[in-house]
Amino acid sequence: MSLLCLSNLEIGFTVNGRSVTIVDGINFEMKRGERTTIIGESGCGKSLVAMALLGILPSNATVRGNIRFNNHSLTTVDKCTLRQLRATRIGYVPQSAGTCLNPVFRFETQAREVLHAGNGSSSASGTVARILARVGLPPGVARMYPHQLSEGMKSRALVGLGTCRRPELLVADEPTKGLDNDTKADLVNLLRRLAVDGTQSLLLITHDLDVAKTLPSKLAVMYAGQFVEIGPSHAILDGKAFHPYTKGLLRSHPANGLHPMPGRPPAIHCRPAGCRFASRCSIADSGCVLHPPSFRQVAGDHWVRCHHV
Amino acid sequence: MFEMHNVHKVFYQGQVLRRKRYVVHGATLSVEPGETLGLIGPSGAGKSTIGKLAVRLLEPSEGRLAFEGQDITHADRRTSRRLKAKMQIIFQDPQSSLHPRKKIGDLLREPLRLHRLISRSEEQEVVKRMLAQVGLNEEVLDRFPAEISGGEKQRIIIARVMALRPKFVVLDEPTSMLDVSIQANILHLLVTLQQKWNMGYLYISHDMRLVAKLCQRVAVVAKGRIVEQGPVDEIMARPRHPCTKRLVAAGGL
Repeated sequence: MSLLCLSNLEIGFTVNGRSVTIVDGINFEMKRGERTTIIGESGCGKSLVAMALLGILPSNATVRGNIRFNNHSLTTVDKCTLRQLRATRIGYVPQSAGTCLNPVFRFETQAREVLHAGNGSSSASGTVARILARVGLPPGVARMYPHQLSEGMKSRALVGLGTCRRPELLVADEPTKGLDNDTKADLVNLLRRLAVDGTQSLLLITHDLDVAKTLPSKLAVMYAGQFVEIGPSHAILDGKAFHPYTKGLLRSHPANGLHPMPGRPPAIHCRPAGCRFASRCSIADSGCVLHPPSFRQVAGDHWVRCHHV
Repeated sequence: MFEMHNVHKVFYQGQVLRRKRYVVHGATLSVEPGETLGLIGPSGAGKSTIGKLAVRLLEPSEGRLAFEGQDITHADRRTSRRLKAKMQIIFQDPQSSLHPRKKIGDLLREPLRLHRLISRSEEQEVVKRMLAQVGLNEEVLDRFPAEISGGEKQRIIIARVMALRPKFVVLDEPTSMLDVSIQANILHLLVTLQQKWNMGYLYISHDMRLVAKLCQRVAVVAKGRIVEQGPVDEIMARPRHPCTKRLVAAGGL
Protein backbone atom coordinates (compact mmCIF):
# COMPACT_ATOMS: atom_id res chain seq x y z
CA MET A 1 0.00 0.00 0.00
CA SER A 2 1.21 3.48 -0.69
CA LEU A 3 2.41 5.73 2.08
CA LEU A 4 1.24 8.95 0.54
CA CYS A 5 -1.32 9.43 -2.16
CA LEU A 6 -2.42 12.75 -3.64
CA SER A 7 -5.42 12.58 -5.93
CA ASN A 8 -6.85 15.44 -7.98
CA LEU A 9 -5.31 17.92 -5.59
CA GLU A 10 -6.31 21.52 -6.25
CA ILE A 11 -5.14 24.51 -4.23
CA GLY A 12 -6.73 27.91 -4.62
CA PHE A 13 -6.76 31.23 -2.83
CA THR A 14 -9.51 33.75 -2.23
CA VAL A 15 -8.20 37.28 -2.56
CA ASN A 16 -10.57 40.26 -2.34
CA GLY A 17 -13.56 37.96 -2.84
CA ARG A 18 -12.13 36.50 -6.04
CA SER A 19 -10.87 32.96 -6.07
CA VAL A 20 -7.93 31.81 -8.15
CA THR A 21 -6.70 28.27 -8.59
CA ILE A 22 -2.94 28.06 -8.36
CA VAL A 23 -2.25 24.36 -8.33
CA ASP A 24 -4.45 21.75 -10.00
CA GLY A 25 -4.52 18.19 -11.21
CA ILE A 26 -1.81 16.90 -8.91
CA ASN A 27 -1.88 13.12 -8.82
CA PHE A 28 0.88 11.04 -7.40
CA GLU A 29 1.73 8.23 -5.10
CA MET A 30 4.69 7.47 -2.88
CA LYS A 31 5.53 4.07 -1.50
CA ARG A 32 7.28 3.45 1.78
CA GLY A 33 11.04 4.05 1.51
CA GLU A 34 10.70 5.85 -1.83
CA ARG A 35 12.20 9.20 -2.74
CA THR A 36 10.33 11.78 -4.79
CA THR A 37 11.69 15.09 -6.02
CA ILE A 38 9.52 17.93 -7.26
CA ILE A 39 11.35 20.46 -9.42
CA GLY A 40 10.05 23.61 -11.05
CA GLU A 41 10.57 27.35 -11.27
CA SER A 42 9.69 29.57 -8.36
CA GLY A 43 6.04 30.48 -8.44
CA CYS A 44 4.95 27.19 -10.05
CA GLY A 45 3.30 26.06 -6.81
CA LYS A 46 5.69 23.37 -5.60
CA SER A 47 5.91 24.69 -2.04
CA LEU A 48 2.11 24.88 -1.87
CA VAL A 49 1.92 21.13 -2.41
CA ALA A 50 4.17 20.59 0.61
CA MET A 51 2.24 23.09 2.68
CA ALA A 52 -1.07 21.45 1.76
CA LEU A 53 0.01 18.05 2.92
CA LEU A 54 1.32 19.46 6.18
CA GLY A 55 -1.85 21.49 6.69
CA ILE A 56 0.03 24.77 7.06
CA LEU A 57 -1.55 26.77 4.24
CA PRO A 58 -2.83 30.25 5.11
CA SER A 59 -6.49 30.50 6.11
CA ASN A 60 -7.66 31.99 2.80
CA ALA A 61 -6.53 28.90 0.90
CA THR A 62 -8.93 26.22 -0.27
CA VAL A 63 -7.85 22.65 -0.87
CA ARG A 64 -9.90 20.28 -3.03
CA GLY A 65 -9.15 16.67 -3.81
CA ASN A 66 -7.68 14.16 -1.45
CA ILE A 67 -4.40 13.68 0.37
CA ARG A 68 -4.07 10.27 1.96
CA PHE A 69 -1.25 9.43 4.35
CA ASN A 70 -1.40 5.80 5.48
CA ASN A 71 -5.05 5.51 6.51
CA HIS A 72 -5.59 9.16 7.27
CA SER A 73 -7.11 11.64 4.91
CA LEU A 74 -5.07 14.75 5.62
CA THR A 75 -7.64 17.11 4.12
CA THR A 76 -10.41 16.09 6.53
CA VAL A 77 -8.53 14.86 9.59
CA ASP A 78 -9.18 16.70 12.89
CA LYS A 79 -6.60 19.13 14.25
CA CYS A 80 -5.52 16.93 17.12
CA THR A 81 -4.69 13.92 14.95
CA LEU A 82 -2.95 16.13 12.41
CA ARG A 83 -0.79 17.56 15.17
CA GLN A 84 0.07 14.10 16.36
CA LEU A 85 0.95 13.00 12.82
CA ARG A 86 3.19 16.00 12.23
CA ALA A 87 4.89 15.52 15.56
CA THR A 88 5.85 11.92 15.02
CA ARG A 89 5.22 10.61 11.52
CA ILE A 90 5.66 13.45 9.04
CA GLY A 91 8.89 15.46 9.35
CA TYR A 92 9.39 18.85 7.78
CA VAL A 93 12.51 20.76 6.81
CA PRO A 94 11.35 24.28 5.94
CA GLN A 95 12.65 26.64 3.28
CA SER A 96 15.18 29.36 4.18
CA ALA A 97 16.90 28.08 7.29
CA GLY A 98 17.84 31.64 8.23
CA THR A 99 14.33 32.65 9.22
CA CYS A 100 12.89 29.42 10.57
CA LEU A 101 14.62 29.26 13.91
CA ASN A 102 13.37 31.59 16.59
CA PRO A 103 16.11 34.19 17.13
CA VAL A 104 15.46 34.64 20.87
CA PHE A 105 15.76 30.99 21.98
CA ARG A 106 18.80 28.77 22.19
CA PHE A 107 18.87 25.81 19.82
CA GLU A 108 18.28 23.31 22.62
CA THR A 109 15.04 25.01 23.70
CA GLN A 110 13.70 24.79 20.17
CA ALA A 111 14.92 21.23 19.73
CA ARG A 112 13.18 20.11 22.91
CA GLU A 113 9.95 21.52 21.60
CA VAL A 114 10.24 19.21 18.59
CA LEU A 115 11.30 16.24 20.71
CA HIS A 116 8.39 16.60 23.12
CA ALA A 117 5.70 17.57 20.64
CA GLY A 118 2.72 15.25 20.77
CA ASN A 119 4.08 13.39 23.79
CA GLY A 120 2.34 15.37 26.48
CA SER A 121 5.08 14.37 28.89
CA SER A 122 8.84 14.58 28.90
CA SER A 123 9.55 11.11 27.56
CA ALA A 124 11.67 12.45 24.75
CA SER A 125 12.65 9.91 22.11
CA GLY A 126 16.16 11.31 21.91
CA THR A 127 18.31 14.04 23.27
CA VAL A 128 19.43 17.30 21.79
CA ALA A 129 23.01 16.02 21.83
CA ARG A 130 22.00 13.05 19.72
CA ILE A 131 20.29 15.28 17.14
CA LEU A 132 23.44 17.33 16.79
CA ALA A 133 25.68 14.29 16.55
CA ARG A 134 23.51 12.79 13.83
CA VAL A 135 23.90 15.82 11.58
CA GLY A 136 27.57 16.29 12.42
CA LEU A 137 27.38 19.46 14.50
CA PRO A 138 29.48 20.01 17.65
CA PRO A 139 27.58 19.59 20.96
CA GLY A 140 28.25 23.23 21.83
CA VAL A 141 25.61 24.26 19.26
CA ALA A 142 22.92 23.30 21.77
CA ARG A 143 23.66 26.38 23.86
CA MET A 144 23.88 28.74 20.90
CA TYR A 145 21.39 31.20 19.47
CA PRO A 146 20.55 31.03 15.73
CA HIS A 147 22.57 34.15 14.90
CA GLN A 148 25.72 32.41 16.14
CA LEU A 149 25.34 29.68 13.53
CA SER A 150 26.37 29.91 9.90
CA GLU A 151 23.80 29.40 7.16
CA GLY A 152 25.08 25.87 6.50
CA MET A 153 24.94 24.95 10.20
CA LYS A 154 21.38 26.21 10.45
CA SER A 155 20.36 24.06 7.48
CA ARG A 156 21.98 21.05 9.13
CA ALA A 157 20.29 21.80 12.43
CA LEU A 158 16.91 21.98 10.69
CA VAL A 159 17.49 18.66 8.96
CA GLY A 160 18.32 17.29 12.41
CA LEU A 161 15.05 18.63 13.81
CA GLY A 162 13.03 17.34 10.87
CA THR A 163 14.39 13.81 11.21
CA CYS A 164 14.84 13.41 14.97
CA ARG A 165 11.48 11.71 15.53
CA ARG A 166 12.25 9.20 12.76
CA PRO A 167 9.24 10.19 10.68
CA GLU A 168 7.99 7.85 8.00
CA LEU A 169 7.84 10.75 5.58
CA LEU A 170 10.24 13.66 5.47
CA VAL A 171 9.16 16.73 3.51
CA ALA A 172 12.14 18.95 2.66
CA ASP A 173 11.25 22.25 0.98
CA GLU A 174 14.32 23.66 -0.81
CA PRO A 175 16.73 22.81 1.99
CA THR A 176 19.70 23.93 -0.15
CA LYS A 177 18.52 27.35 -1.34
CA GLY A 178 21.25 29.98 -1.24
CA LEU A 179 23.97 27.65 0.04
CA ASP A 180 27.33 27.39 -1.68
CA ASN A 181 28.31 24.21 -3.48
CA ASP A 182 30.36 22.63 -0.70
CA THR A 183 27.68 23.13 1.92
CA LYS A 184 25.05 22.01 -0.57
CA ALA A 185 26.84 18.74 -1.34
CA ASP A 186 27.24 18.20 2.35
CA LEU A 187 23.55 18.67 3.05
CA VAL A 188 22.50 16.41 0.18
CA ASN A 189 24.73 13.66 1.57
CA LEU A 190 23.14 14.16 4.95
CA LEU A 191 19.64 13.86 3.49
CA ARG A 192 20.66 10.76 1.59
CA ARG A 193 22.12 9.14 4.68
CA LEU A 194 19.23 10.01 6.99
CA ALA A 195 16.58 9.07 4.52
CA VAL A 196 17.98 5.61 3.87
CA ASP A 197 18.40 4.53 7.47
CA GLY A 198 15.17 2.83 8.38
CA THR A 199 12.09 3.04 6.23
CA GLN A 200 11.95 6.76 5.70
CA SER A 201 10.55 8.29 2.56
CA LEU A 202 11.68 11.65 1.33
CA LEU A 203 9.67 14.24 -0.56
CA LEU A 204 12.20 16.79 -1.75
CA ILE A 205 11.20 20.09 -3.28
CA THR A 206 13.90 21.98 -5.12
CA HIS A 207 14.70 24.05 -8.17
CA ASP A 208 18.28 22.85 -8.21
CA LEU A 209 18.96 20.30 -10.94
CA ASP A 210 22.32 19.36 -9.40
CA VAL A 211 20.60 18.36 -6.19
CA ALA A 212 17.96 16.39 -8.08
CA LYS A 213 20.72 14.59 -9.94
CA THR A 214 22.69 13.56 -6.86
CA LEU A 215 19.61 12.13 -5.14
CA PRO A 216 18.18 9.53 -7.53
CA SER A 217 14.43 9.40 -7.18
CA LYS A 218 11.11 9.67 -8.87
CA LEU A 219 11.20 13.11 -10.44
CA ALA A 220 8.12 15.29 -10.93
CA VAL A 221 8.53 18.40 -13.07
CA MET A 222 6.04 21.12 -12.30
CA TYR A 223 5.07 24.03 -14.54
CA ALA A 224 2.40 26.68 -13.93
CA GLY A 225 0.63 24.68 -11.21
CA GLN A 226 0.62 21.29 -12.96
CA PHE A 227 2.85 18.28 -13.18
CA VAL A 228 4.08 18.18 -16.77
CA GLU A 229 6.33 15.16 -16.48
CA ILE A 230 6.90 12.39 -13.94
CA GLY A 231 9.57 9.75 -14.37
CA PRO A 232 12.76 8.27 -13.00
CA SER A 233 15.28 11.06 -12.35
CA HIS A 234 18.16 9.32 -14.13
CA ALA A 235 16.10 9.00 -17.31
CA ILE A 236 14.86 12.59 -17.30
CA LEU A 237 18.14 14.21 -16.36
CA ASP A 238 20.26 12.11 -18.72
CA GLY A 239 18.64 13.16 -21.95
CA LYS A 240 15.46 11.11 -22.04
CA ALA A 241 13.14 13.95 -21.10
CA PHE A 242 9.98 14.21 -23.20
CA HIS A 243 8.25 17.44 -22.30
CA PRO A 244 9.55 20.56 -24.10
CA TYR A 245 9.60 22.46 -20.79
CA THR A 246 11.78 19.83 -19.12
CA LYS A 247 14.10 19.94 -22.14
CA GLY A 248 14.28 23.73 -21.95
CA LEU A 249 15.00 23.59 -18.24
CA LEU A 250 17.85 21.15 -18.81
CA ARG A 251 19.30 23.25 -21.63
CA SER A 252 19.40 26.32 -19.41
CA HIS A 253 21.61 24.51 -16.91
CA PRO A 254 25.23 25.73 -16.90
CA ALA A 255 26.55 22.23 -17.63
CA ASN A 256 24.42 22.05 -20.81
CA GLY A 257 25.34 25.40 -22.29
CA LEU A 258 23.24 27.93 -20.35
CA HIS A 259 20.69 28.47 -23.14
CA PRO A 260 17.91 30.75 -21.93
CA MET A 261 14.29 29.71 -22.49
CA PRO A 262 12.25 32.39 -24.27
CA GLY A 263 9.21 34.01 -22.61
CA ARG A 264 7.94 33.54 -19.10
CA PRO A 265 5.26 31.45 -17.37
CA PRO A 266 1.64 32.65 -17.74
CA ALA A 267 0.26 34.89 -14.98
CA ILE A 268 -1.83 33.03 -12.40
CA HIS A 269 -5.06 34.88 -13.13
CA CYS A 270 -4.95 34.44 -16.91
CA ARG A 271 -3.71 30.96 -17.61
CA PRO A 272 -4.43 29.77 -21.17
CA ALA A 273 -7.20 27.26 -21.85
CA GLY A 274 -4.94 24.91 -23.80
CA CYS A 275 -1.43 23.78 -22.96
CA ARG A 276 0.08 26.18 -20.43
CA PHE A 277 3.50 25.96 -22.02
CA ALA A 278 2.26 26.60 -25.60
CA SER A 279 3.36 30.26 -25.78
CA ARG A 280 6.99 29.37 -25.02
CA CYS A 281 7.09 26.09 -26.88
CA SER A 282 8.92 25.68 -30.19
CA ILE A 283 6.80 22.74 -31.37
CA ALA A 284 3.38 24.13 -30.36
CA ASP A 285 0.61 24.28 -32.99
CA SER A 286 -2.96 25.53 -33.05
CA GLY A 287 -4.18 22.38 -31.29
CA CYS A 288 -1.91 23.05 -28.32
CA VAL A 289 -3.42 26.50 -27.82
CA LEU A 290 -6.99 25.20 -27.88
CA HIS A 291 -6.94 21.89 -26.05
CA PRO A 292 -5.30 21.10 -22.74
CA PRO A 293 -3.11 18.01 -23.09
CA SER A 294 -3.83 15.02 -20.89
CA PHE A 295 -1.30 13.31 -18.68
CA ARG A 296 -0.26 10.25 -20.66
CA GLN A 297 1.95 7.28 -19.93
CA VAL A 298 4.91 7.05 -22.33
CA ALA A 299 6.87 4.29 -20.62
CA GLY A 300 6.50 2.05 -17.57
CA ASP A 301 6.72 4.76 -14.95
CA HIS A 302 7.07 7.79 -17.15
CA TRP A 303 4.17 10.21 -17.62
CA VAL A 304 4.07 13.33 -19.79
CA ARG A 305 1.53 16.12 -20.33
CA CYS A 306 2.07 17.04 -24.00
CA HIS A 307 0.20 16.59 -27.31
CA HIS A 308 3.36 15.89 -29.27
CA VAL A 309 4.73 12.93 -27.37
CA MET B 1 40.62 50.51 -16.81
CA PHE B 2 40.14 49.33 -13.22
CA GLU B 3 43.08 48.28 -11.08
CA MET B 4 43.45 47.03 -7.56
CA HIS B 5 46.99 46.87 -6.27
CA ASN B 6 48.07 44.90 -3.20
CA VAL B 7 44.88 45.71 -1.28
CA HIS B 8 44.50 44.52 2.30
CA LYS B 9 41.43 44.67 4.49
CA VAL B 10 41.65 44.19 8.23
CA PHE B 11 38.71 43.72 10.55
CA TYR B 12 39.12 43.82 14.29
CA GLN B 13 37.59 41.13 16.42
CA GLY B 14 36.71 41.19 20.09
CA GLN B 15 36.15 44.15 22.38
CA VAL B 16 39.08 43.80 24.76
CA LEU B 17 41.85 42.14 22.83
CA ARG B 18 41.08 43.71 19.42
CA ARG B 19 42.60 40.87 17.46
CA LYS B 20 43.53 41.74 13.88
CA ARG B 21 42.00 39.57 11.17
CA TYR B 22 43.06 39.89 7.57
CA VAL B 23 39.99 39.28 5.44
CA VAL B 24 41.73 40.30 2.24
CA HIS B 25 45.46 39.83 2.08
CA GLY B 26 47.23 41.54 -0.80
CA ALA B 27 44.72 41.40 -3.66
CA THR B 28 45.99 42.58 -7.03
CA LEU B 29 43.74 42.49 -10.07
CA SER B 30 42.68 44.52 -13.09
CA VAL B 31 39.67 44.68 -15.39
CA GLU B 32 39.69 46.06 -18.96
CA PRO B 33 36.69 47.53 -20.83
CA GLY B 34 34.52 44.80 -22.31
CA GLU B 35 36.21 42.15 -20.25
CA THR B 36 34.81 39.89 -17.53
CA LEU B 37 37.12 38.82 -14.74
CA GLY B 38 35.80 35.94 -12.67
CA LEU B 39 36.44 35.89 -8.93
CA ILE B 40 35.91 32.43 -7.60
CA GLY B 41 36.47 30.71 -4.27
CA PRO B 42 34.78 28.84 -1.44
CA SER B 43 32.38 30.75 0.82
CA GLY B 44 34.13 32.84 3.42
CA ALA B 45 37.20 33.29 1.23
CA GLY B 46 36.73 37.05 0.97
CA LYS B 47 35.29 37.30 -2.56
CA SER B 48 32.48 39.63 -1.61
CA THR B 49 34.81 41.77 0.48
CA ILE B 50 37.04 42.24 -2.57
CA GLY B 51 33.93 43.19 -4.58
CA LYS B 52 32.89 45.77 -2.01
CA LEU B 53 36.43 47.16 -1.81
CA ALA B 54 36.45 47.50 -5.61
CA VAL B 55 33.41 49.80 -5.68
CA ARG B 56 34.57 51.55 -2.52
CA LEU B 57 31.78 50.42 -0.26
CA LEU B 58 34.61 49.46 2.08
CA GLU B 59 37.76 51.45 2.71
CA PRO B 60 40.95 49.42 2.09
CA SER B 61 43.32 49.16 5.06
CA GLU B 62 46.32 49.15 2.75
CA GLY B 63 46.92 49.22 -0.98
CA ARG B 64 45.81 51.26 -3.95
CA LEU B 65 42.80 51.45 -6.28
CA ALA B 66 42.86 53.08 -9.69
CA PHE B 67 40.08 53.80 -12.19
CA GLU B 68 40.85 55.01 -15.71
CA GLY B 69 44.43 55.80 -14.74
CA GLN B 70 43.44 57.91 -11.76
CA ASP B 71 44.19 56.97 -8.14
CA ILE B 72 40.86 56.70 -6.34
CA THR B 73 41.98 55.15 -3.04
CA HIS B 74 41.33 58.35 -1.13
CA ALA B 75 39.02 60.20 -3.50
CA ASP B 76 37.19 63.17 -1.94
CA ARG B 77 33.42 63.28 -1.63
CA ARG B 78 32.75 65.04 -4.88
CA THR B 79 34.91 62.66 -6.91
CA SER B 80 33.40 59.69 -5.08
CA ARG B 81 29.95 60.78 -6.09
CA ARG B 82 30.95 60.98 -9.73
CA LEU B 83 32.72 57.63 -9.47
CA LYS B 84 29.71 55.92 -7.97
CA ALA B 85 27.82 56.37 -11.23
CA LYS B 86 30.71 54.83 -13.15
CA MET B 87 31.33 51.91 -10.79
CA GLN B 88 28.30 49.89 -9.75
CA ILE B 89 27.55 46.67 -7.92
CA ILE B 90 24.75 44.10 -8.22
CA PHE B 91 24.19 42.01 -5.11
CA GLN B 92 23.28 38.40 -4.60
CA ASP B 93 19.87 38.73 -3.05
CA PRO B 94 17.42 40.79 -5.14
CA GLN B 95 14.91 40.71 -2.28
CA SER B 96 17.05 42.77 0.05
CA SER B 97 18.34 45.16 -2.62
CA LEU B 98 14.98 46.84 -3.25
CA HIS B 99 13.17 49.01 -0.72
CA PRO B 100 10.03 47.00 0.12
CA ARG B 101 7.78 50.03 0.55
CA LYS B 102 8.63 51.83 -2.65
CA LYS B 103 6.93 51.12 -5.95
CA ILE B 104 9.00 49.80 -8.85
CA GLY B 105 8.52 53.07 -10.75
CA ASP B 106 9.99 55.07 -7.86
CA LEU B 107 12.82 52.61 -7.45
CA LEU B 108 13.74 53.08 -11.11
CA ARG B 109 13.60 56.87 -10.83
CA GLU B 110 15.79 56.91 -7.73
CA PRO B 111 19.25 56.60 -9.36
CA LEU B 112 18.31 59.12 -12.06
CA ARG B 113 17.40 61.69 -9.42
CA LEU B 114 20.32 60.94 -7.11
CA HIS B 115 22.82 61.49 -9.86
CA ARG B 116 20.80 64.33 -11.47
CA LEU B 117 21.10 62.71 -14.85
CA ILE B 118 18.00 64.08 -16.52
CA SER B 119 15.21 66.59 -15.98
CA ARG B 120 11.92 65.49 -14.43
CA SER B 121 10.06 65.92 -17.70
CA GLU B 122 12.17 63.28 -19.38
CA GLU B 123 11.85 60.80 -16.51
CA GLN B 124 8.77 58.95 -17.72
CA GLU B 125 10.34 58.34 -21.10
CA VAL B 126 13.66 57.16 -19.69
CA VAL B 127 12.05 54.81 -17.19
CA LYS B 128 10.11 53.16 -20.01
CA ARG B 129 13.32 52.73 -21.99
CA MET B 130 15.06 51.23 -18.96
CA LEU B 131 12.28 48.67 -18.59
CA ALA B 132 12.33 47.75 -22.27
CA GLN B 133 16.06 47.19 -22.08
CA VAL B 134 15.71 44.49 -19.45
CA GLY B 135 12.66 42.93 -21.10
CA LEU B 136 9.90 43.95 -18.71
CA ASN B 137 6.67 45.70 -19.57
CA GLU B 138 5.20 48.81 -18.04
CA GLU B 139 2.61 47.15 -15.84
CA VAL B 140 5.24 46.49 -13.17
CA LEU B 141 5.73 50.22 -12.50
CA ASP B 142 2.84 50.41 -10.05
CA ARG B 143 3.72 47.24 -8.18
CA PHE B 144 5.73 46.74 -5.02
CA PRO B 145 8.84 44.54 -4.97
CA ALA B 146 6.94 41.83 -3.07
CA GLU B 147 4.50 41.54 -5.96
CA ILE B 148 7.03 40.52 -8.61
CA SER B 149 9.18 37.40 -8.92
CA GLY B 150 12.85 37.06 -7.98
CA GLY B 151 13.96 37.10 -11.62
CA GLU B 152 11.95 40.25 -12.30
CA LYS B 153 13.44 41.90 -9.22
CA GLN B 154 16.94 41.16 -10.45
CA ARG B 155 15.98 42.68 -13.82
CA ILE B 156 14.79 45.84 -12.08
CA ILE B 157 18.10 46.03 -10.23
CA ILE B 158 20.00 45.60 -13.49
CA ALA B 159 17.89 48.35 -15.09
CA ARG B 160 18.69 50.68 -12.19
CA VAL B 161 22.40 50.02 -12.42
CA MET B 162 22.59 50.25 -16.20
CA ALA B 163 20.68 53.55 -16.34
CA LEU B 164 23.81 55.19 -14.96
CA ARG B 165 25.86 53.84 -17.88
CA PRO B 166 28.59 52.47 -15.60
CA LYS B 167 31.99 51.54 -17.02
CA PHE B 168 32.71 48.91 -14.37
CA VAL B 169 30.20 46.64 -12.62
CA VAL B 170 30.78 44.16 -9.81
CA LEU B 171 28.36 41.22 -10.07
CA ASP B 172 28.27 39.56 -6.66
CA GLU B 173 26.70 36.16 -7.37
CA PRO B 174 23.82 37.79 -9.25
CA THR B 175 21.98 34.52 -9.88
CA SER B 176 22.61 32.27 -6.90
CA MET B 177 19.15 32.94 -5.47
CA LEU B 178 17.38 32.32 -8.80
CA ASP B 179 16.11 29.25 -10.65
CA VAL B 180 18.20 27.66 -13.39
CA SER B 181 16.00 28.78 -16.26
CA ILE B 182 15.92 32.35 -14.94
CA GLN B 183 19.64 32.26 -14.25
CA ALA B 184 20.34 31.64 -17.92
CA ASN B 185 18.05 34.54 -18.88
CA ILE B 186 19.68 37.00 -16.49
CA LEU B 187 23.24 36.08 -17.47
CA HIS B 188 22.31 36.37 -21.14
CA LEU B 189 20.93 39.85 -20.48
CA LEU B 190 24.07 40.91 -18.61
CA VAL B 191 26.32 39.74 -21.46
CA THR B 192 24.18 41.50 -24.10
CA LEU B 193 24.36 44.78 -22.18
CA GLN B 194 28.10 44.38 -21.68
CA GLN B 195 28.69 44.02 -25.39
CA LYS B 196 26.49 47.01 -26.13
CA TRP B 197 28.31 49.42 -23.83
CA ASN B 198 31.72 47.78 -23.53
CA MET B 199 31.61 47.54 -19.74
CA GLY B 200 34.12 45.74 -17.57
CA TYR B 201 32.65 43.13 -15.20
CA LEU B 202 34.04 41.62 -12.02
CA TYR B 203 31.95 38.47 -11.74
CA ILE B 204 31.92 36.82 -8.31
CA SER B 205 30.78 33.21 -8.16
CA HIS B 206 31.47 29.84 -6.62
CA ASP B 207 30.41 27.89 -9.69
CA MET B 208 33.34 27.17 -12.01
CA ARG B 209 31.01 26.21 -14.86
CA LEU B 210 29.43 29.67 -14.91
CA VAL B 211 32.83 31.35 -14.70
CA ALA B 212 34.13 29.23 -17.59
CA LYS B 213 31.09 30.27 -19.64
CA LEU B 214 31.14 33.99 -18.93
CA CYS B 215 34.67 35.12 -18.15
CA GLN B 216 37.84 35.62 -20.14
CA ARG B 217 40.11 35.60 -17.09
CA VAL B 218 39.67 34.23 -13.61
CA ALA B 219 41.19 34.88 -10.19
CA VAL B 220 40.89 32.19 -7.52
CA VAL B 221 40.54 33.38 -3.93
CA ALA B 222 41.29 31.25 -0.88
CA LYS B 223 41.48 32.54 2.68
CA GLY B 224 41.72 36.16 1.61
CA ARG B 225 44.53 35.68 -0.89
CA ILE B 226 44.41 35.46 -4.66
CA VAL B 227 46.13 32.12 -5.15
CA GLU B 228 45.91 31.79 -8.91
CA GLN B 229 45.05 34.13 -11.77
CA GLY B 230 45.02 33.74 -15.52
CA PRO B 231 42.99 33.04 -18.68
CA VAL B 232 40.00 30.80 -18.00
CA ASP B 233 40.91 28.14 -20.58
CA GLU B 234 44.36 27.76 -19.16
CA ILE B 235 43.22 27.47 -15.56
CA MET B 236 40.43 25.05 -16.44
CA ALA B 237 42.92 22.88 -18.34
CA ARG B 238 45.83 23.08 -15.89
CA PRO B 239 44.72 24.12 -12.40
CA ARG B 240 47.79 24.37 -10.14
CA HIS B 241 46.66 25.42 -6.68
CA PRO B 242 44.82 22.66 -4.72
CA CYS B 243 41.88 25.00 -4.16
CA THR B 244 41.52 25.63 -7.89
CA LYS B 245 41.76 21.91 -8.58
CA ARG B 246 38.89 21.30 -6.20
CA LEU B 247 36.73 23.98 -7.79
CA VAL B 248 37.40 22.70 -11.30
CA ALA B 249 36.73 19.11 -10.29
CA ALA B 250 33.58 19.95 -8.31
CA GLY B 251 31.62 21.30 -11.28
CA GLY B 252 28.11 21.25 -9.91
CA LEU B 253 28.08 19.13 -6.76
